[in-house]
Amino acid sequence: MDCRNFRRLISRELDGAFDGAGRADLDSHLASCAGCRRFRDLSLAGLSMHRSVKEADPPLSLLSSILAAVEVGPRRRRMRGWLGVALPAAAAAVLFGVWIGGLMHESYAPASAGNQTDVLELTYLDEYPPGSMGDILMTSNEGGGDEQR
Amino acid sequence: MNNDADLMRRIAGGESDAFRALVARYERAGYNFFLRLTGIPEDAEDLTQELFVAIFRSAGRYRPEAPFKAFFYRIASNLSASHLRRRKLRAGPSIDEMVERGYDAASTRHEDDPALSLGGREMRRRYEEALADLPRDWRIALELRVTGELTYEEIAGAMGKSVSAVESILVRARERIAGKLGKE
Repeated sequence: MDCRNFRRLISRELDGAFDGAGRADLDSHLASCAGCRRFRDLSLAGLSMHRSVKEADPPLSLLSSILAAVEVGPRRRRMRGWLGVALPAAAAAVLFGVWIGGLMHESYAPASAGNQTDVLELTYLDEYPPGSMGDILMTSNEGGGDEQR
Repeated sequence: MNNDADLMRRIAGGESDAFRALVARYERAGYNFFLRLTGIPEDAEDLTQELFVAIFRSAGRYRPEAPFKAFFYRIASNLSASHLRRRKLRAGPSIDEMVERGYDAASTRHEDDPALSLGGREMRRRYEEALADLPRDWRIALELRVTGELTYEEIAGAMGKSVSAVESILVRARERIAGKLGKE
């Protein structure tokens, strides 16, 4: 075994994961290798420093902020879900309204000269063309009307 | 029965009391894990919150056959890696930056700190600097081992690496640190 393998054993030993296999070889190597002894001693010192770190207390507000974050999440999802249905429905209603409005506009509004002519002709027809049955009846009624008055 | 697996099952079923109990049980561990890695209390607080929100949302995917601790630290490791990646690809802030942000390493240590007998504050400063200079994965592996007290197998599971790779990382991290501690 070379130093790399012995250092692996040393590292395992520091972590409490050394099963003891190769103990005699490791001890023998450490007795003769200053580099690995130094690695072991400094690693042990580092581990001691690392473990001596005192745990910090989390801020008192952390628990409530975690709980709030989790409660807000589903609400937002629900809102997104509701909006996901409502917004397209509203948009479809607006488009439908615009389409219907457009149809009505085309049917009834005097938007072009052609349409205006149609309306004038209709107005003319409303007044009964000369010689039509309506004209005849209206003429006779007008005469009668005078008599009735 | 209130073990971790049972709490996770209840959280997946929508029981808020179970989630509250789980947070109370692991909040301290999560916060200190992130604080050791970032050195910045505000970052540790934000990451701890992200961690528990992630646990809450993935409770349905948790399988009780796996130890909860491994599940917990797997998410914590991923969050740490993302966070450290965002912080200029470093394992953590420099000591100067940590001090600027209000971190006082001396105040977080016991009075009977063995480091004092090995060279005192200078040794401790070197150690913190050596930790901060480690590559991201090495630092996370070391924290999982020392702070999280995970086994090599659990670290491998948490980091998505083989046990052999984890062992190599820990040895190399220790060699790097020893080199800096032993510098004359």
